[in-house]
This record gives sequence, structure tokens and C-alpha cells, in this order.
Amino acid sequence: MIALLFLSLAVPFASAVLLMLFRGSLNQTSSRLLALSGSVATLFLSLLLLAQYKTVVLKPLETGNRPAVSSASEASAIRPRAEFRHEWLKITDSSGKVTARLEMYFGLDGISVALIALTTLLTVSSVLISWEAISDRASEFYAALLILETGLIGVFCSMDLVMFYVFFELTLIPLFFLIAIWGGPDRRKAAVRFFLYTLAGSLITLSGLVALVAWVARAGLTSPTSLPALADWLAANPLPQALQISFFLALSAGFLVKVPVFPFHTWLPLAHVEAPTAGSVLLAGVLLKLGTYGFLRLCLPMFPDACRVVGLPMIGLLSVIGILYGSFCALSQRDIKKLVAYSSVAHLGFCMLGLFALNTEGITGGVLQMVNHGLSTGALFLIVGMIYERYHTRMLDDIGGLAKRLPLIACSMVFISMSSIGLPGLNGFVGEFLSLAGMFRSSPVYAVLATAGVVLGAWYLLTAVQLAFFGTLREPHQDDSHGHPHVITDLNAREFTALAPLAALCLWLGVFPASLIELIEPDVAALSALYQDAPPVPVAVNPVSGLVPAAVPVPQVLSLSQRIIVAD
Amino acid sequence: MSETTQQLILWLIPVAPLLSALITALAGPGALRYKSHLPCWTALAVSFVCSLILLFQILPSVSQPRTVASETTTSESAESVAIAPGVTAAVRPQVIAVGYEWFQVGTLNVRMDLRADSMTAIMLCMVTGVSLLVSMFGSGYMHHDPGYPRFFAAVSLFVFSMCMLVLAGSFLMLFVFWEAVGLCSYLLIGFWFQKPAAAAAAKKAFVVNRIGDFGLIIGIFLIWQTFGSLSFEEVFGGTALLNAVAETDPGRIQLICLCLFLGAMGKSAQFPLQVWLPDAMEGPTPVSALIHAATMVTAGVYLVARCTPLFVLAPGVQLFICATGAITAAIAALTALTQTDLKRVLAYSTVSQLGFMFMALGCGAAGPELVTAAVTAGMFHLFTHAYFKALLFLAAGSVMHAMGDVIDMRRFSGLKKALPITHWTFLAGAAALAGVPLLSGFWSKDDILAVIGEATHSAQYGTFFRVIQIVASITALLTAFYTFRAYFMTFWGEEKFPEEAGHHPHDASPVMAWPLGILAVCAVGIGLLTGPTHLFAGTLQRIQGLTAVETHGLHWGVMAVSSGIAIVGIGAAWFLYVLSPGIPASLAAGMKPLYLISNGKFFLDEIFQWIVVFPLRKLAALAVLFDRFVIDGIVDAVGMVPRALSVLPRQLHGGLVESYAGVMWVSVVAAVVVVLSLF
Repeated sequence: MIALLFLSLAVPFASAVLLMLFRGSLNQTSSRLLALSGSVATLFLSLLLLAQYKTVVLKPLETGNRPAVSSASEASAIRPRAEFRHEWLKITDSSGKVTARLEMYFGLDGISVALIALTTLLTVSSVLISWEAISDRASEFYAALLILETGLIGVFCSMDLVMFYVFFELTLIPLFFLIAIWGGPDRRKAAVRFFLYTLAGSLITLSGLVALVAWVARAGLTSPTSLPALADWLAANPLPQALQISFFLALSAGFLVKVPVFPFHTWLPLAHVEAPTAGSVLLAGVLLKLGTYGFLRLCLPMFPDACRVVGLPMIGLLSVIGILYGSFCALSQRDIKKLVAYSSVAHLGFCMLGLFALNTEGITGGVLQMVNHGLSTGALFLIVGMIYERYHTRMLDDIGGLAKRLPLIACSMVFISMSSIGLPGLNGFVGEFLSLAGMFRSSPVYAVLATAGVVLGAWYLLTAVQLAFFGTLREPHQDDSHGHPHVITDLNAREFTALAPLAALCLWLGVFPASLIELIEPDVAALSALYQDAPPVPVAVNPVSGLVPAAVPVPQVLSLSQRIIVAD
Repeated sequence: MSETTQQLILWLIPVAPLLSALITALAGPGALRYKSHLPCWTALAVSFVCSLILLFQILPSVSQPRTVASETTTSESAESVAIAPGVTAAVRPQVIAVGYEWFQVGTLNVRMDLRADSMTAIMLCMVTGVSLLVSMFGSGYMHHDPGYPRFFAAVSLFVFSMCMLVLAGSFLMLFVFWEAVGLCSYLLIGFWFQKPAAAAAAKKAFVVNRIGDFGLIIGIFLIWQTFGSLSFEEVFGGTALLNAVAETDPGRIQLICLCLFLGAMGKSAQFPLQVWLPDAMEGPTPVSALIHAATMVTAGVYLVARCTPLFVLAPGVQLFICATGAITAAIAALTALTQTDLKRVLAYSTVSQLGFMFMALGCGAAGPELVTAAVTAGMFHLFTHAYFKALLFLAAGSVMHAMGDVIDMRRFSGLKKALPITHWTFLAGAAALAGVPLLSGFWSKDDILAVIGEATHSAQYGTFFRVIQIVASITALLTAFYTFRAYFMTFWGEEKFPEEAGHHPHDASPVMAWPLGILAVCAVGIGLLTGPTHLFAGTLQRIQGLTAVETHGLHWGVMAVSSGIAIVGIGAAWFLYVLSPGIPASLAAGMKPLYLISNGKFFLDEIFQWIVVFPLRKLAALAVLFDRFVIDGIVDAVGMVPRALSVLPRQLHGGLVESYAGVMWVSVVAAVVVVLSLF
């Protein structure tokens, strides 16, 4: 399994290197073919990885046999099910005792496998959607795309803090170039803002990480950068609350910007509007998930008290504001791409809300939402890109009634919009529902407010669909360079190939969400065990003895109330 | 019948339309084209037959105690404080077809299983039967529409969703298909998407429904938290738990019921969320018949009836339901009085009749012994209404078809001779809706008036229900009046066609005439067949939360009054629109403000626009400005800090060799001075 992982890191990286090395001699066609074959190969590798994970790890888990590879203890909140470690550096004290070690540590669990598969899938779609759109310096473009993919996969399989941080920052560089070179008219400003804003945030994260590592190393943990070891150690020796909160806040800084959580979101619409379609797809589809993934991997397992005291009330509140605020901003956008960008702010709000519900339902919902948002928003950006490629505009004022001209694109748009607004039966619903349900257990007020965002979600997206695709046909006049009218054609085979897998997955995950949930279930269970996951506390109150004790499993409650009857 | 066969039959009911939807969607544009109705017809026929088998074969056969799946429940409910004291709990026959586990997270386990009891079976028969007839009519009506395959794919998907909705065994599964029905209505209302009005109506229907869904989903969260489960069986079956919660925390049950009812208000177009329904007439007419008669709008009524065990414990909410129903019924009826668009008259009458159903459901507040009668009356009206309203819509569609898509009643009249089939079938539907004695609408409306009448004897809420009674009676009168106003305006008077119709309008072709005929027979006879014979009530009352009551005869008094109301209403319409057609115009002129209010639909759309849409739009615009100038402004300001800090140091790196030299000279001198002074 680890071999597959290495291959899926190496293949995109090697393709990128090849593209850069031979950038002089490769023309557009050959560089995009190379990029396509590299990304498709990576996709297959990650699918193999997924399949193998299911057979090697999940099957034995179901039958009760512990997986062979598991270094961390049973109670650990982070438990890689497959791993590779290689020691880089050992620091010994004068007596020869090892005080600290640095290692290369790759590990996989269900969450990372799922996110890696999402990344590789979206990369293939990104390559396909750039096929015609990118003609200028194509090989550099695809190289940047593949480096980005490598970085993203790297983040999701790093089990070591240093590696995690390096990959985390590595993703900035290719995306910076993607926006700054191949972006829209205002690309310089967007790229610089994107880069500086996220960098500023993640430098605070870095300082927090350094302080944390120094603290635990001094306290005696010999592998202070290994995530599982760190989580274990912190679970066994909980930090004082004030310290937890400081670390939590420092680490959150970078992630809050990355997600982005209100009010740190203003870089996002700008970056999306200026980025080329492929950049937007990967930015919304995967890059934003680095933020939520950071919370999931670092904050949640390591600082449970801080999450309860600060995370739930504060980040929960910010997420709720983000959901409503993002929806409102989306509602009055005239630029579809900006509208989708603001919808991302709202959707990531649901995701954060789920994670910080701090219970099984919520965290599962949050993780599902990560994948689902990647699929549906990725697909939405693909469609927006297709429209832009045809009309060179994204403004709702310029286009209308396109369903007549582009029936297949219109169908896809309606379908994906439905998935994005959380129609049950498509992927968005289950994640959203679980996030909200989880939050409802932790804080009903937040959940109710956030649910109102669901209504707004339907409103802004369907308004955009109505304006762009329904009504009387209205399209900007287009002439090609020879003065002949531009022929507008519907979805072609290449675009279909880019879009169809995403749409199919939207449907599949809506009808069979269990196939994704069972993948991440053991990891979420391990994490939420930290928060003493209690089943919903039924309000059935015992008339004799007062309140039913909290954390009574449901069947007991039933029998309890039966006892009430007996007592009567 | 073996269990496997039973399960197969149960599964066939929703799966057949689903398959048809898939086949039509895939093969429709290519291979099928104008044969796209065939899969739909076949599938709906299969579903209908299976529903009938379910109703007549399976459910009676499982009612023998040994196969009852919910035996424990039954004994429990007998043990609990029985809803109607002294009546033994009846056997609750139900069939469950195992599906798959949708997901299982934490304590939340949601399965996709089908569950059918007698209420489900009745709903299924009605839904699939009416849909089959509508789809037959539709193949004639939609003939040569370029979207022909799309129409039948969406109709099949719609029937699938609706069947799954009533077959759902848990709140979450119900919600899933509740939303799916919303999606299909979006697709069907917006069928002619090139028409801006249709596109706007589709969106409006979906979004307004979502407002209701907001309540429903909160209700589901609350149920999950309160009962630890979402399955009907565990929530309603655990009567002990239900009563325990009701005793200790009645507010929570009220809240749950209120939330659920908010969902029902959206779907079943109750005030103030009824704004979407009249606009939805922008869809093709068969769609109106499908959505606004037999299926989608009944979902809310079904939900409330299904949750009777919960609503019984929340009399406050029941009063609220009753009041909402009354307000809706009255407003919609008053609006219908002055509409000139035939389909809109019918749309408002649908809203009004749904109000009637909710009025009936709310009567349970008067006392637990009334609950069964109340739910039965509401569901019975839902049942009969489905037939005659589908008939009326289809007949209106037939008129529209003949008149070249003109539906404004001022532009045609006297169609009696030109469209005989349409005329007679419309008359049958109108008479049934007006409550002409012995027709189906008569029996069900009579049941509702009777149950409201009984509720007025309640000690606690007597006055409230007396008001309701008055509103209901007046609304019934108005119903008879506006229905026959539409009838007389369309079919009587001098013969007049709009120019779009050509000179010789054609009556319904056979494929349209047959469904009209069958529905007309149902509209006339189904009430008599199932109402006074206690067939409907007897079947329905075998579900959870209801108790079988013995037939308490016919309410002769109420029947006399409601017959009188119907006849007076029809007579008034005849007088005003046939005998002296000048009067309505002068009445309208004489009571201009009232006329304007009614004709302007109580300005509810405008009010909605000003109170909800406009402020939210403004808020959205404000949010964008806030985002650009405040939040981004702060970000920019923070970004300025390093630059501001660099002002001074920047002077030092100006690139001028002279200034470097100057600095160097000064520094060297200073250094020398310092060094020298130290020693």
C-alpha cells in the first residue's frame, strides 16, 4: 500500500519535472498529453490505493482483527492504518540517550485515502478543462498543476509535523504561479494577496507548531513531531487549559485563513475570479480542505479542552456567520464565478460546523462535506469555465436562456446545483445533515441558524441557474478572428469526460453514502472517542428521580421509560 | 402470498416508475422520441396494480395477529393511556420490505426500507392511479412538444419520489423524498424554461418549499434528540416514551409538532407559504393536475396525519393548524372569486381545499376522542379531492388545448356545444368540488363539517371551533360559487373563441377523453362508494395513532346544511353569470376596494416581496459592500502596516551613492569619537 502511495507521489512529480525539463521542446499538444497521462496514472494509483485500503484495512477491521501495521496505541486519536517511517535525524544527550528524533513519516488512514482520491480525480478534470483554454506556456502550466497535486497528496499522507508543514506551504507556490501567470486581468493583485494572506496565517501556525514541539520535547517526548505520538502524548498528559488555548489559537491562524472562515475570507473571491478554471477547481476542491484538514489532524486530536472551550463557541459562531454571510454575499453577485466562490465560504462553514460539533455525527458530516464540497464545487467551477470559454464572460447580465443553446451543460448545471444545495439523494445532503445534526446536539442555536443558510443556498444558486440558463436566449455577440460568427457548441467529449465522473460520484455518494462513511468511520470514531462521545441525550425526564443522567444509550432510555410505566 | 412476493410487490411500486424515468431519460431523446410515454404508462400501470394488490391482498392478509410485525407496539399502546378510552387497540397491519442501510453514524441509523400500512396503501393507490390517468392525458396534451421525453422522465421520477415518500418508514427517509418531490416539481413547473415566468415560478416553488423544509429538518433534529431514533416505528410505537415526554416536557412536543407543521405548510401551500402554488400554474396543465391535485400538495396533509400520535399530544399546535387551515381556506376562496384565469381559479381552490383538510386535522384539539374522526375526515377529503381536482385541471387543460393555449375566461365562452366531452366531465368535477349531494366532494366535506361541528361542543375550545365552523361554512359556500362561476363563464353564454383557437376547436382526442371520463366517474361515485359505506374510514383507521370507531351513522343535519350551501352557491353563480351577467361587473365597480383586494390575491405576493424578499436582497447588497469596504478594508489596512513601518528604513536604501557615502562618513566619525571618548 505504501508503495502505491509513493508511486502516486512520484508520478505527478516526475511528470512535472519532465514537463519543466523539456519545456522548450514540448508543444502544447505533447505537454498536455504528458500531463494527462501523468494525472490519469496518478488517479489509477490512488484508486488502487483506495481499493487496497478497503480490502487490507477495512475488511479485517470489520471482522475484528487488528490491522497488521499499527504503531499507535488503541486509544490514539490519530491512527495511521498503513505507514512508512524513516529516521532522518537523532539528537542524543551526553549520555547517549535519544532525546529527540526527526523522521520521514508517511501514514494513511481512511480520511487521507479519501482526500487523496478526491485530489487525483479533480486534477484529471483540471487537466482536461485546461486543454484548449491554456495555450500559452502550456508545459509550465501543467507542471505547476502537477506539483500542486504532489503537494496536496503529500499533505494528506504526512504523519510528521515538519513534513506536514512543508507540503502545506509547498502548495502555495504552484498555485501562486497558476494565478499570477495564467489568471485574469487582475491576476497579480489576486496572486499576491492570496500568497501573502495565507502565508501570514500559516507563519503564525508555524510559530505555534515550533512552540508546541519545543514544549513537548522538553517535557520528554522523544519524537515530538510525529503526529500520532504527539496526539497520544497529549492525551496522556493533557496540557493546562490556558496553554492549550494559546496553542490552539496559534495553530488555527493559518487554517482559519485557508478554510477560509469568516472574516478571513476576502482573499478567496478575488483569487477565484482571477484564477484559471483549473486553478479554481483545485483551489476550491482541495486546497481549502487543507484548512479543515489541519483542524481535523492537529487541533481536534491535540487540544480537546481548547476545542470545547474556544473552538465550539467561537469557531462555531464564526462558521454560522460565514454560512449566512457567504450566502448573502453570493445572493447579490452578478459574476457566477464570484457567486460560487462565496458559496464555498458558506459550504466550508457547514464543514467547520460539523467538525466543531465535536461528536461522531458532526465530525463525520464535516469530513463528508470536505469530499462533497470538493466534488460539487469543483464541478461548478468546471461548468463556469466552460461557459467562460464559450462566451468570454461570466456576468449574469450578459447571458441568459443558455439551456436552449447548451442543453447538456444546462442539465449538468441543474444537477450539480442540486447537489451543491444539498438535495437529498445527491452527495451534498448527508454531509450537511450530519454536520447540522451533530451541531444540533452541541449547540441547537448554531444549528438552527445554520439551517437557515440552507434556504439561502437554494435561493442564490437557483437564481443564478434561472438567470443564466432559463428564460429567453441572450448571448454576447461573438465573432472569431475572421469576422465569422462564432459557433457555440454544447458539451464536447473532453468536457464530458472531465465532468461525468464528478457527477456520477455526486449521485453515487448521495444514494450510497455508506460507501464513503465506512471508509472514514474508524478514524472518526477514534477521534471522537476523545470527546467522550455521548449519544443524544434524550429529554425523557424521569418523573420520579428528576433528570435522566446524561449519556444514557438509547435502548436504555427506552427500557427506562418502560420502567416508568411499570412504576406507575 | 409468500413474504418474498409481498416484498417484491412493495418494491415494484416505486421501482417501476424509477426504471421508467431512467429509460426515458437515457433513450428518450434518441430512440423513443414521441413514444416516450410508453415506459411511463407501463410503469405507472404496474405500480397501480401493485398498489391495489397491496391494499386488497396483502394488508388484510397480514392483519392476522401472528404476522403482525408490531405486535409489541400494539400491546404497549393498549397498556398506555389509550387515546380513546374503552376501545381496544386494533391490529395494525403493516408490511415492511427490507432495503439497505443508507448510513449509520453514531446513534443515527437510517435505512432505506419500505413500510406500508393502510394509509400508505390508500395514498399509493390514489397517487399511482391518478398519475397514470394524468400521464395518459399528458401524452395527448404534450403531443409534438419538443420536450416530450423530458416530460415523461420527470413525471416518472415524480411518481417514484411520491411513492417513496409515502412508503418511507422513517422521518429522514420521508424528508429525502419530500425534497425529491420538490426537485421534480421544480423540473416540471419550469418545464417550459424559455418562458421567464415559468423559470421564475419553478424557482419560487422550490425556495418557498425550502422555507418549510427548514422547519421540517429542525423538527427531525428535535425528534432525534428527544426519542433517540427517527423511525416511525420507534417514535410512534413507544407510546410509553411518548407519554413520558409529553408529561415532563410538553413544550418540546409542541415545538416538534410546530416544526413539522411548518414543513407541511410549505408543501401543502398553507398561509403564508401558499404563494408558490398559483404561480406554479406556469407548468403544463397535466403537471398542475399531478402536482396540485393528487400528489405533492397532499404530502403535507399526509405528514400531519402520519404524525397523529405526536400531534395528539400537542393540542396547542392542533389549534394553530386549524386556524391556519381556516385562514388559508378563506383567503384562497375569496381570491378565487375574481380570478379570470381558469387554471388560477382551480389553483386557489386547491389551496382552499387543502385549508379544509388542515381544519379537519386540527379538530383533534377538541378532545382525544375526536382525533380519529378528524384525521379520517381530512384524509378522506384528500382522497376525494385528488380525483375531482385532477379531473378539473385536466378538463381545463382540454379547454386550453382547444383554445390554442388561451386560458383567460374572458376570451372564450359558451364552449358547451363545441367541447361536449370536456363540458360534461368538467361539470362532474365542478359539482363534486361544490359539494352537490351524493357526489364525492359532498361526502368528504360533510365529514369535515361534521367533525368541526362536534368540536364546537368542546368545553375548552368551543368558541374557537364555532368561529372555525362559520369560516368553514362560508368557505364552502364560496367554493360552490366560484367553481360554478368558472363553469358558467367557460361553458355557458354565447359561443366565443379566441383567434388562437382557429374556427373549429377540437374536443379532447380519445387519449385525453378516456382519462377525463374515468376521473369523472370517480369524481361522481368514489365518495358514495367509500364514504357512507365506511369503507375508507374502516381501512384508514387501522394505522398507528388512530382507533377504530364504530360507524356513527350519517350526520343528517350537517348533510342538509351543506347541501343547502352547495345549492345556494351554485344558484348564485347561475344567477350572476347566466341570468343577469351585467351584475358582477357593477358589483365589482360598486365594491372596488374589495374587488381589488380579491383580484390582487390579497397582495400577498407583494407583501411577501416587500417583507421578505426585498429586505433580504438589500441585506445581501449590504453584505457585499461590507465585504468590500469593511472587511477587505481592514485587510488592506493591516497590509499597509509593514509598508508604513518601512517608510523610515526605506530612506536609507535610496540607492544614492552620495547618501551612502554621507552615512558612512558620519558613522565613521561617530565611531571614532565614541572609541576615542572611551579611552
